[in-house]
Amino acid sequence: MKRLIVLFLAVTLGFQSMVILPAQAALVSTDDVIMGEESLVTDRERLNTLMQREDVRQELRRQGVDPDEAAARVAALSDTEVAELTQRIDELPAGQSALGIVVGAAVLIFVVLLITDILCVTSVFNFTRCATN
Amino acid sequence: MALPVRRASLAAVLLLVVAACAAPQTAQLVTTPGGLPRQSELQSVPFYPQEAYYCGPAALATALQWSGLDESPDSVAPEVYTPGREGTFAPDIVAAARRKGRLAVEIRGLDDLLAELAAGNPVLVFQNLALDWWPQWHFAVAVGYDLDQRVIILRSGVTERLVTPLDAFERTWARGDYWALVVLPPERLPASEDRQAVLLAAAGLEQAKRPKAASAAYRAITARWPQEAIAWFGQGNALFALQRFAGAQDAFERALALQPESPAAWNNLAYALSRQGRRDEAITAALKALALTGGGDENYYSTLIEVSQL
Repeated sequence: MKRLIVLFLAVTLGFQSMVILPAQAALVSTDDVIMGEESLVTDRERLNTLMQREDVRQELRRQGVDPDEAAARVAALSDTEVAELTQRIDELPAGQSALGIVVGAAVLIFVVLLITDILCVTSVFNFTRCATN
Repeated sequence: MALPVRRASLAAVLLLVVAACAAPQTAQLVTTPGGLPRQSELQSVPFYPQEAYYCGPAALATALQWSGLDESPDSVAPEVYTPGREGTFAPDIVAAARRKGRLAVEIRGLDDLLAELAAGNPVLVFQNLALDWWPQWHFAVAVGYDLDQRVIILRSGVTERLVTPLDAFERTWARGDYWALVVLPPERLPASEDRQAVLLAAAGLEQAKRPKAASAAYRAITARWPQEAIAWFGQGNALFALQRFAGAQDAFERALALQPESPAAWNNLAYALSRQGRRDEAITAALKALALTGGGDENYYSTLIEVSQL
């Protein structure tokens, strides 16, 4: 009986602490403070999700870059820089030459957007052809 | 009366030609150089002749080797080169420098670029050697200049000491969107007074998981700008990552002495205290962060719960 109570307590307390345990408690990064504590994680999260996709990883390999190496390159950029890069691509005027677009954008972001373009998710590069059209 | 007209148009054409030759920042610097010496050249910067499309790796290796690391174009290529594009992307150079524990600070104006050279720091530059609509991208390393001769000296391509007119360089650099980078040992700050750029470079070392280098950089930054709260805050984060919690606490407290209303600093201080087993003080700090944000911040609320559960 005693053992049962202990087990019960252990399970409920364990469950409780699991519920209470903060999902996102963390130190605030220096980068966030420099930029006024704005949350810039979403760009990075979006990018990471895209990177998990096999088609994206395959395209990176085709470009001669190991997907994990590409991830390491982007990991060394701050959230702000990632946001800036994705933003800059959004701002690019239509009709610019391919190489003009490439400049300044991290390879991963470029390739990811190129692929998402091909898959009709985005339309950043107007020279890519949509596969489903 | 055709002659005067023709003469006038000839003069106009000449004027256009002259105007096209002088680049604005160069013209400004040659007449009013401010505190810049008339000439400067770094002899000790190494040279790696570029092979094939390896100008990015060659330029980065040059800068890293100068900064005291034993690197070559071949050793850095896997981290910056993109075979499918036969080239190197500028942000990859920044990321690679950080992964090597180097402080990579972006430089924007020609005056700042020359100031770095005068201070003894070589500058990695990104140029478009051709035209906007037919670009030929290139990385090189600037090592010197001469305002009297109006030239800049580069380690570029296969030329160890390329002497280029400063006006021409400015235009090729402008077509590369004025991108330039100094790559420094973390304890050495650039001549640039752009505090935000320097802070971002140090924070980049944290991001690249090089807390030791980040800590060295913050030490240099707080020595130069002791009143900069963010530098103390960053030092706290770097020391925390190194598990030096007492040192982190001290740094966060210094940040708070300068900026008592910073919830982020109170939040991080709570963690530094908590890791030292100082539960009550940690709770007080976490409450302070929460109070400063009106009690509605989820992250700070989670912090409070986490440090309470110790």
